[in-house]
Amino acid sequence: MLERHPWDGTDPAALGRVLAVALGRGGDLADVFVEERSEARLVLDDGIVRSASAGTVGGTGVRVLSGERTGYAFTEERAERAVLDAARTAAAIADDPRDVAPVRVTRGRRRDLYRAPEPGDAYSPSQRIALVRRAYEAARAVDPRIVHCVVTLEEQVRRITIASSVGVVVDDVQPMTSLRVRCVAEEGGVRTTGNAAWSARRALADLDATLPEDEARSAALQAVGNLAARPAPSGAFPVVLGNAWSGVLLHEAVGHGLEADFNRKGLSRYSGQIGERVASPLVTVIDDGTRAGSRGSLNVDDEGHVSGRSVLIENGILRGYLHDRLSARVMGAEPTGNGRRESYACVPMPRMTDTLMPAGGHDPEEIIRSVERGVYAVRFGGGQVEIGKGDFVFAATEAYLIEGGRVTAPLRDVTLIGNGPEVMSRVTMVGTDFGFSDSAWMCGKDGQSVPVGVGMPTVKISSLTVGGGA
Amino acid sequence: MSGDDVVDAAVAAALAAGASAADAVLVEDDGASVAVRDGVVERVERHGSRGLGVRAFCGTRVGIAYTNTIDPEAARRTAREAVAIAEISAEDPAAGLPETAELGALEIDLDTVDPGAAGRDVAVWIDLATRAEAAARAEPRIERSEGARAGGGRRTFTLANSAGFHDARAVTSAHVHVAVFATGDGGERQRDLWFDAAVHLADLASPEDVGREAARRAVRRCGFRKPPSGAVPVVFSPLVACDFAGTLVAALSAAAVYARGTFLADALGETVGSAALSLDDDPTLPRRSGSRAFDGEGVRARRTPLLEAGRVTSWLADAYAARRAGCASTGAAGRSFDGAPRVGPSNFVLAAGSRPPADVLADIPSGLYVTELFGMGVNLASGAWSRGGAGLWIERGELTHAVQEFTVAGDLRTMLRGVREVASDLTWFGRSAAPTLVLDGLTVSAG
Repeated sequence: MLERHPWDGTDPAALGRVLAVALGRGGDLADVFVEERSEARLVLDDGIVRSASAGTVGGTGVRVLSGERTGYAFTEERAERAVLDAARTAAAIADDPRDVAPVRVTRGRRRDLYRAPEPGDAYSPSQRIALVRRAYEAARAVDPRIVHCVVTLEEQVRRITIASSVGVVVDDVQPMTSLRVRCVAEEGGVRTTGNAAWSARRALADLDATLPEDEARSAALQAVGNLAARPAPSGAFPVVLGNAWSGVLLHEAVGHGLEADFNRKGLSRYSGQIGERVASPLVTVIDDGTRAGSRGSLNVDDEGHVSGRSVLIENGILRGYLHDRLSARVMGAEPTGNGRRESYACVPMPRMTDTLMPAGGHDPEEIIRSVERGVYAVRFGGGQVEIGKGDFVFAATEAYLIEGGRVTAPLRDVTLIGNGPEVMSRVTMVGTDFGFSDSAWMCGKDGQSVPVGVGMPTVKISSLTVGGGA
Repeated sequence: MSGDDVVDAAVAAALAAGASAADAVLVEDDGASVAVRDGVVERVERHGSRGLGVRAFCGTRVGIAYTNTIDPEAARRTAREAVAIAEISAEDPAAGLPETAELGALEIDLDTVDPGAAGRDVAVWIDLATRAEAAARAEPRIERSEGARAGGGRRTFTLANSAGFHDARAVTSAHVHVAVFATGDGGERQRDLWFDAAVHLADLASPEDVGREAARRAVRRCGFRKPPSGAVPVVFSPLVACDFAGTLVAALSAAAVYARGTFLADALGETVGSAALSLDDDPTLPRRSGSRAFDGEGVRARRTPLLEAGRVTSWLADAYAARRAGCASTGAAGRSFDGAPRVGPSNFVLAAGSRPPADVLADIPSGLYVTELFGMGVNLASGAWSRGGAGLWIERGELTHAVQEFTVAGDLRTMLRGVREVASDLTWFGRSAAPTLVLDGLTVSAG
């Protein structure tokens, strides 16, 4: 079909016409989000290319805010007529019809934290297959007890344009490359797994030379190491959290509770506590969307705001929340560049980017030595939090017993449970060894998934509930 | 252009571009949802999505390409891309369409479409959500609401392949969900939620019942204690038993078997669990959201017993996993437009026992009744199982105070053997159903 007004989402005049229609029923604010996502995925399953796929999907979402109310609609048609229809649908959240002139939009600011892919970056299919094969071979070479290995390579480029009725349009090209390795080890009827992943806003051509082998060996060693693991003890113990991966704790125990959508409704454990002590004085937590090339980094968020570096907790004192446009408006705050959405089909929400705890003053070995009997948790499969009360749970996939100040037996499948503010008040030592985990973390909230990163130094929690089978 | 034409055009274009076989799927989703909080409509969303996926085979090499531009030219272009990917991919001896004899659709009316549940008229959903929240808020001790949501939609799945299969199926779904906070005597605040979902609007629980249940669950959490640590009898509520059944379904997948990713990998034909345990994958049930006449690659649907009286009777398999694991497809291919088919259940049902749950509980002098599990501590390969939980303490056969802030852990092998009794209260949640279960062999840890 020949379309008289084709829509590619980049023409400022067309964006202005859509915004005018979106505000035509009396909404206070409107924005248009245009997205095109190209993806390629390769799965090597025990040396066999099980799945090779590629595709492009896209669409345009229109949001209208009226007070605290949101109207949202989207279309996947590349026609101005369809986008105007979506704008009329979203506009119906308000009920005060009026004439609105087309909105003039001028180009807004964005950061420069990663580079848009260029044609020269593209790997040929045979180069991609060779890369995942290298990972596979490296994993198998670690130990004959590795009985299965799956390597997944994903490349994505997300092109977005956001135009807002405040008169700003901004676009961004967001690359993401991810490599995941999963190994199964088996011996005498015992079967264990090891997982490793790497992900960043970088092109395949920018990968470190030995990254596929490094990730594969890491996954394989974890699987083999877990063969000797025994069930974890149950009860309250001192727990030493290893650096980097343990940042999952910050994400679950602190970050979610500081997302302002929960706080503007007074529903978070942390609501109304700005300026109050919510953690040990050793604890500082920062959400940082500005780490160049990092998985959680953003030149602009999905509402067109420049990404930020937000200090959430400073030396134990609560300093601020993570905002999107709606929560910032309602709470009278500035947007923090944390308005994110999974795709054009979704409304934005306050979300984390890279969530970090900076290094402290303790030697990591001294931290281990300080524990008579406890658990050293190194890697994590994921976590979950109940925001109203702050209770969280997270699963360690690599953990060890600490006995007499030394790391001893490996422990199998350890679950840690606690309450965010209580546990953060029991941080008694913070290591000098800050590490960042680029392990392809995905954060789920309200059915929407967005890529994030976490990082922290080695940390001692004086007491945490460990749930093992023993 | 209709969905039929698009998938046919894609398959024809793949063959014309040199594919030896191909299939194409079109997935169409339409619907609306609303959020209401404190009686005010907080959000209205409408959605309408399309996706076309083409899978092309060049001998035993396979390529997949997809788009959400739906027109004949895009279909042909996507088909050519799929062939181009297949041509440069590597040989996979297990790749291919299902066996031709398995292709077809079950010829019974599954009654999976209700225009009322698919409605884009948001007034219906606003009414449901408003009533559900109001019912919850009317209960004593409910002082704060996180809000209610309701919505509905329709998904249509059209599939064609080069072996002559061509069919479409649709399913509608309506849902209502409420989350509220109860305030306890000491000012403590406890959150809980309740929900229902159904294929037909007429089968959806009344919004008032859903709201009152959310309130009841939040209130009964107040005054919670930590449970004693140690090995105690554990009772799973039907919702938690569905979570457990889902874990078993994943452990019985042929895809996990060939990847050595399940503790049951060598257990076909073996008795691994209590005689009280039977589990089916059943796409043939009328008016259930997982019901389907054919699976994601056109294999005729059928009921598959996975566990019978504790014995592993079949793996759950799609065509590919079946070839890798050395079994037959059970018509369990799940399929989205943007990837390869994957093994996935239709509806899964953990069979009910004979005694009502109150009688089952009455036999337990002291133990833990689990109403909620959270966290990701399930390792299918090793069988280790360790979760955060919330629930109620059982004393002399009765439910007493709430318990929270504990983990419950064990090994799936021990848990399967340790199912002491299955109650008669089979309860549906979406496409899964399970009754109350009593298990031995779990350890509770509350610090």
